[in-house]
Amino acid sequence: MHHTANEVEHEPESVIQRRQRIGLVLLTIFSLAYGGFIGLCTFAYTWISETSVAGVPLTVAYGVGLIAMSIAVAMIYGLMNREAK
Amino acid sequence: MVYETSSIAIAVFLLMVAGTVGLSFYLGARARSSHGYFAAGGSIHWFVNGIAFAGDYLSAASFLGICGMIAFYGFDGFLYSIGYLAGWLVALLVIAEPLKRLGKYTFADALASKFQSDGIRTAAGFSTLIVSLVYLVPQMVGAGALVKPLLGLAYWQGVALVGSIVVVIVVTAGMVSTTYVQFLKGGLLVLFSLILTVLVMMRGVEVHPEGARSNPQRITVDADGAKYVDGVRLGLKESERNVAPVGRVLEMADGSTKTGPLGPVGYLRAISGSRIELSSPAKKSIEDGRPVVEYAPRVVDGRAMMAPGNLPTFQGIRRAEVYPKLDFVSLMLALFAGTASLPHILIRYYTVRDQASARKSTIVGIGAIGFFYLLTLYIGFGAMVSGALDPSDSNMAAPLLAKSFSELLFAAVSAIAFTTVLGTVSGLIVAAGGSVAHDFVAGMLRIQLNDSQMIRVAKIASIIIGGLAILAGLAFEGMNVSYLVGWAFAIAASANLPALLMLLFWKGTTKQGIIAGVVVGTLASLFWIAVCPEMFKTMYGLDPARAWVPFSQPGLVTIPLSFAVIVGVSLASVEKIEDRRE
Repeated sequence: MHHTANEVEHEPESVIQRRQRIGLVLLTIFSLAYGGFIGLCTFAYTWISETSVAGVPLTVAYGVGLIAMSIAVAMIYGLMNREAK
Repeated sequence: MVYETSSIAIAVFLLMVAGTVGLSFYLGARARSSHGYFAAGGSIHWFVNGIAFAGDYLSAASFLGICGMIAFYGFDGFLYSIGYLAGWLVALLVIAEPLKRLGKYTFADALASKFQSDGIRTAAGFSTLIVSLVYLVPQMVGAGALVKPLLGLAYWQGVALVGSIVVVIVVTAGMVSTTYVQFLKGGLLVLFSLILTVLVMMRGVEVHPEGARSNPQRITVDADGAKYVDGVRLGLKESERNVAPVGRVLEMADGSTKTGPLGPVGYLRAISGSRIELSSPAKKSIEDGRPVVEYAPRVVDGRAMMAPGNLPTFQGIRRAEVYPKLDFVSLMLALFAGTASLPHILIRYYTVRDQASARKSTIVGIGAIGFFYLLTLYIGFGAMVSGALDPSDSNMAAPLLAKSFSELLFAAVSAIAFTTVLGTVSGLIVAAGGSVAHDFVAGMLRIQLNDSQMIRVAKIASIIIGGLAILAGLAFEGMNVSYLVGWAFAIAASANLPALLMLLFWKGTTKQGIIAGVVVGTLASLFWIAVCPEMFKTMYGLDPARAWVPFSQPGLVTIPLSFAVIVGVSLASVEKIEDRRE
C-alpha cells in the first residue's frame, strides 16, 4: 500500500487551535439561530405561523435566512482562515 | 397515474443514464492502486470535490422527497432542507480538517489515529457498515418508487435494477469515477433545478379556469392487479381513464386571475395569499374484497401551507402533548448532527490533497447544496399550483412540474433523478466496501493484503452489501422515505459524532471511552428504532401506543447518551489505569 499524493500540512499547533476556536464560535452562533428556529416552530407554533416579514410568513423568512446564514458562515470561516494562514 | 412519454424523452433519459455509467467505466479503468481506488489518489481538485459533495449528498430523498413534500404539505418539506444543510456547518467548522489531518482512507482511520487501536477501528468499521446499510434502505425504497412510474417497471424490478447497476459501477470503478459522476450529477441537479425555478417564476401564479373539482377519485385494484379509476380501467386509451392531476389555484388575494412573471419574494407572497385545491392523503378501504384508495379534493389556504405541522409526521407540533413535539426536535437534532457523521461524506475528505482543500471543498459544497435547497422551496410550491400533481405519488412532483413545461425537461429531470439515486447508492457502497477491507480485514483480523487483494476484498464486500441493500429495499417497501433517512442520520449522529468531537476537544478521552461510545451509540439508536411507535405501526402492524419508547426519532436521547458513555467510561478507565500504577 502506498500513500503518495495525500499530503498532511504540518501547521503550527497555534494555527490549528486558532482555527478550532473560530470554528467553535461560529458553530455556537449558528446553533443558537438553528435551535431558536426549531424552538419557535415547536413551542411557539401559533406565533411563528401568524407573523409576517415584508408580506412573507416568518417561518419561510426565517428558514430562508438560516440557509443564507449557513452559506455566509461558511464563507466567513473560509476568509478568516485565509487571513490566518 | 399513467405517464405518457415521447420517444424523444425516453431517448434523452437513456442517453443521460448511459453517459453517466459510461463515464464511470472510463474513469474506473484508470484507478489501479488501492489509494486510487479508495481515495482517488488524493488528487481531486477541491472545487470538483465540493460539487461532488453536492452530488453525493443530494439524494433522491432530497430532490424528489423534499419537492414532493413541499408540493403536498408546504413548509414541512422545507424543514428537511434546512436541517440537511445545517449539518454541513458541523462538518466544515469542526470535522473536515482534523479528519483529513488524522486519517487516510476511512473515518475509522481518524478515530483510531491517536491510540493506534484495533478496537476503535473495529467499532468504527461496525458503525460505518450499520449506517451505510440503514442509509441505503431509503435510497433503495426511493429507487423502486421512482423507477416504477418512469420506466413502467414493478417496484421489485426497480430496486433490483438500481442495485445491480450500482454494484456494476462500484466493482468496475472506484473513487475517481465515483467522484466525477457525483460532480456531473451534482452540477446537473443544481443547474436543472435553477432552470425549473426560473420557469416557475416566469409562469407566475394563475387561477385554474375550471375552478374546483368536487368529486373524489377512487382507485380500485382487481385480483389480477388491473386498476380502475371511478370504475373505468386505468390507462391512456379513449375507453380508459387516467388519474386526474391535482394542484390548482382557486382564488388569489387581490381577486386577479393571473400574476404574470414574479420575483422570488413576490412569488412567495402570491402563494401565501392564494386558496389552493390539493388532494387529501389516501384513504384506504376494502370493498367486495378489493382494495380501494380514495383521493378527495381538499382546499387549503396558501398561508397555512407556509406554516409547519401539515405533514402527518409533523402534526404533533400543533398538539399540546410533549412527546410528539420531542419527536420533531429529535429529528431536527439528528439532521443537524448526522451529516458530519455519514461515512460516504466523510471518505470524500480523503480524495483531496490537504486540509486547506478539505476546507475549501466543504465551502463549495455548502454553497451548492444551500443554493439547491433554496430552489426546492420554489420547485415545491411551483408544483403545488402547477395543476400537474399526481395525487397517488408525491415523489413525482418535481418531474411532473418539469413535464408541465416540456417533455424534454421531464426526460432530463427524470434522468437526473435516476442518476441521483445511482450516485448516492454507489457512494454508500464504496464507503461500506472500503470499511470492510481496511477496518475489518486489515485492521481487526490483521490480515496483510497487497494492493490488488485489498481492492478485491472491497469489491466482494460491495457485491454483498449491494445484495443486502436490494433485500432491505424490498422489505421496507411503502415506508416513508424521509422518515427512514431521519433514522439513518440519527444512528450516524449517535455512533460517530460524539466520538469524533470528544477525541478532538477533550483530552481525557480514552480508547475504551471511544469504543464504548461508538458501540452504545449505534446499538442504542438501533434498539430505539426497533421498538418505536412508527415501527410498531408500519412494520409490525401493531398498536403504536404499545411501543416501548414514547417517540420514534432516537437522536434526542441516544446522542447525549453516547457523549455520557464516552465521558463515564473514559473517567473509569483512567482511574483503573491509575489504580494499577499505584
